Amino acid sequence: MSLTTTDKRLVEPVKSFASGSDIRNLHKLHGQLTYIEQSKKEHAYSPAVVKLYDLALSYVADAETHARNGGRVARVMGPWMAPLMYAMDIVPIPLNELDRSGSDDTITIAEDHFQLPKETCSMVSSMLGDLYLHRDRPIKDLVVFNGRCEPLNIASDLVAAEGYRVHRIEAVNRPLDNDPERLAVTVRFLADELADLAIRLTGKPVDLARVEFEIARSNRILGKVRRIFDLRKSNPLYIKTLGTMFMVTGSANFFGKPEQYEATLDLLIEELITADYIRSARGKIVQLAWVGGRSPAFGLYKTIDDCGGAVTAWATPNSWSQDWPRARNPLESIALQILGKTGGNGLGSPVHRLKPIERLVNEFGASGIIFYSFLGCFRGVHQEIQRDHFQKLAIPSIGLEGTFHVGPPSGQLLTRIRAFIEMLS
Amino acid sequence: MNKHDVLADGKVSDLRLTNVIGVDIGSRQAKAVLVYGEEIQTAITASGVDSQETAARLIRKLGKQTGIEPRDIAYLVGTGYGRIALDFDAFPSEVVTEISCHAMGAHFLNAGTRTIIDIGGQDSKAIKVDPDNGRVVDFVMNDKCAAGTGRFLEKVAELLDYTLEELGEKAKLSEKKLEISSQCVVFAESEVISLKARGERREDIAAAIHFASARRVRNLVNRVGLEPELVFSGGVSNNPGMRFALEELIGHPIRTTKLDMVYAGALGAAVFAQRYYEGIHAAAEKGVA
Repeated sequence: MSLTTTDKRLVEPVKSFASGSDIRNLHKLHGQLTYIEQSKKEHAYSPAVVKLYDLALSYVADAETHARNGGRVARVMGPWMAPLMYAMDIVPIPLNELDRSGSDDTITIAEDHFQLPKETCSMVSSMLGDLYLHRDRPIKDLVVFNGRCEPLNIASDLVAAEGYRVHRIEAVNRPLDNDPERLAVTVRFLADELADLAIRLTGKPVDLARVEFEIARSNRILGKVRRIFDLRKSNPLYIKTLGTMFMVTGSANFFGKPEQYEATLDLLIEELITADYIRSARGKIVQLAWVGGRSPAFGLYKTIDDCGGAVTAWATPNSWSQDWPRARNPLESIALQILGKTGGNGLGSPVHRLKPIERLVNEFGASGIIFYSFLGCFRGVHQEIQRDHFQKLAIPSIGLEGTFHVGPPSGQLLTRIRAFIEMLS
Repeated sequence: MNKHDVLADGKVSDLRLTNVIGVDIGSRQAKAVLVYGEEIQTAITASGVDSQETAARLIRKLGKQTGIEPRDIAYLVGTGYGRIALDFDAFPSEVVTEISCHAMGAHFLNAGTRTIIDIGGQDSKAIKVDPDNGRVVDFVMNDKCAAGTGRFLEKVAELLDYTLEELGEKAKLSEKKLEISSQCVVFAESEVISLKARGERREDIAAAIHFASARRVRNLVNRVGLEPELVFSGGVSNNPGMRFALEELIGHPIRTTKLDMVYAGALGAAVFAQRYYEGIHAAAEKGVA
């Protein structure tokens, strides 16, 4: 079977577009790179936002260069690996950090080459296809958390046959009743798993003092992210929705460059303190919360801005809204973070996350919630449970389901978002 | 048509501006409503490949009916599937989603509307409306498959050798209740062929198809919560078989309106056109524009 690689699309020149904030130009924008270039132009007034995008865009390519030069890089599942990985001098790349290439090939590969059913979660299919396309590239280590999702576990088994080294962390979930004794057992179990993982990856135990240092750094960085969200409350469009999505994404693994990411946040804080207020072309700004997965269809974020909305609160698997928990053993801190003491991540029952979402909605003044999940993902059911809860609280919400492979968003998704913002306007 | 003959009581004075147009480009049909003077003029055409051209065709049609030239148009709002591509040089325009437009249009045609079922060519929706102002309170859309859409009915009509217009009429002549279990166009096709091979009457098969589609739509209505008064809009709203199946399954009557509900979206767009026009002028008076 002959497969087209996505690589040539990475260097495809960005098309020019007629004008910035007009919903009617949306159909002219295709692919993530185009949206990023468009957003960079819109943020020309902010060197920090432009730098943020540059960090995101160079992330995978620079990590691959690092790996080719003998450095250690691993693809990791979940947003909780940064302290452990950086403590072992391994650059982490989230498993779902695709190449911003606009590829439908990934799904085709999953369905044709790996024979995954069409109904499989589009995120799993895309990741599987993406890993297949990258099988000859230098990053070979995959760190997989078994509890994340069963189709993903299957996908990681499938790619093991393509030359990847798959390192598993066995799963435990946070007990629903938060029983302290059971929680302590699960935390110890996970901490042991992490200690074993370090030995499997590097051949030696991890330096716990380094882990402690990295957790402290993560907390410092998260504090800066929170400061930016606070400042953004009074100027929501200074960093538009796509830009804030990248900031949140980067808060997990720092785009492989913690010092540069943190310096960019410092710059952003400085800018926001003195920035002029950015008006919406539509008048009043409708503040929204985004809950769930991040859509790779960047047109959705642009539509939000263009229709007079702004996402001011993100409840995504990255628990940026609170510090990492502290424990005697830093590996137990990571375990607690994985188990979602703060409720921000995606493990266990979705009811764990109701209160944290409520907090975010209240703190950042969101007048409505966008719940987002991927087609075929079980989290679509979570979304319904959560939507019911917020309906009872009289907080309007909308549930969106999208595909994970990169491409222009479907007209129906755009209609839903636009109608939701019209409803709240 | 005179506005007094079409609009709900008390709504005539709310649609006072002249020469505003609403254009609703659906996936199968494009509709337009022009408000001029005391009159409301409608036009309909098949949606072409080029939404801009389709809209231009509708404007020409309205022009022929009324003598209005593009330069006379005060404001146009585009809605529907093809709204994104609309842009005009001769007059100001804006786009609004069909969800907001159907809500507003239904409100102007039946002021007590609280729930709308909208079935179009490519999706179906349930919309909850504030009867005080016609604004959307909640909505849910089904676009995951063709079941419960005009496209599904079109395919079935073809299989049963009916025209689309005949399909709904014939369904009302059904004498026997048949079950269509599949909701997918592709699989339903084989079910319909099996029923035909079994010698079932076409009228009964047509009715079964309408009930299968209506079950999907009922689920949408349940999601937003049915509150009377209920209206039915969109391209399928003229189908008596679907109307009957919905009323049976939902157990609630659908209100009739004086204007064909396929124009509800375009009428709502015309209402928004008036508001945008007034917004521009209010801003200009304040020196903001």
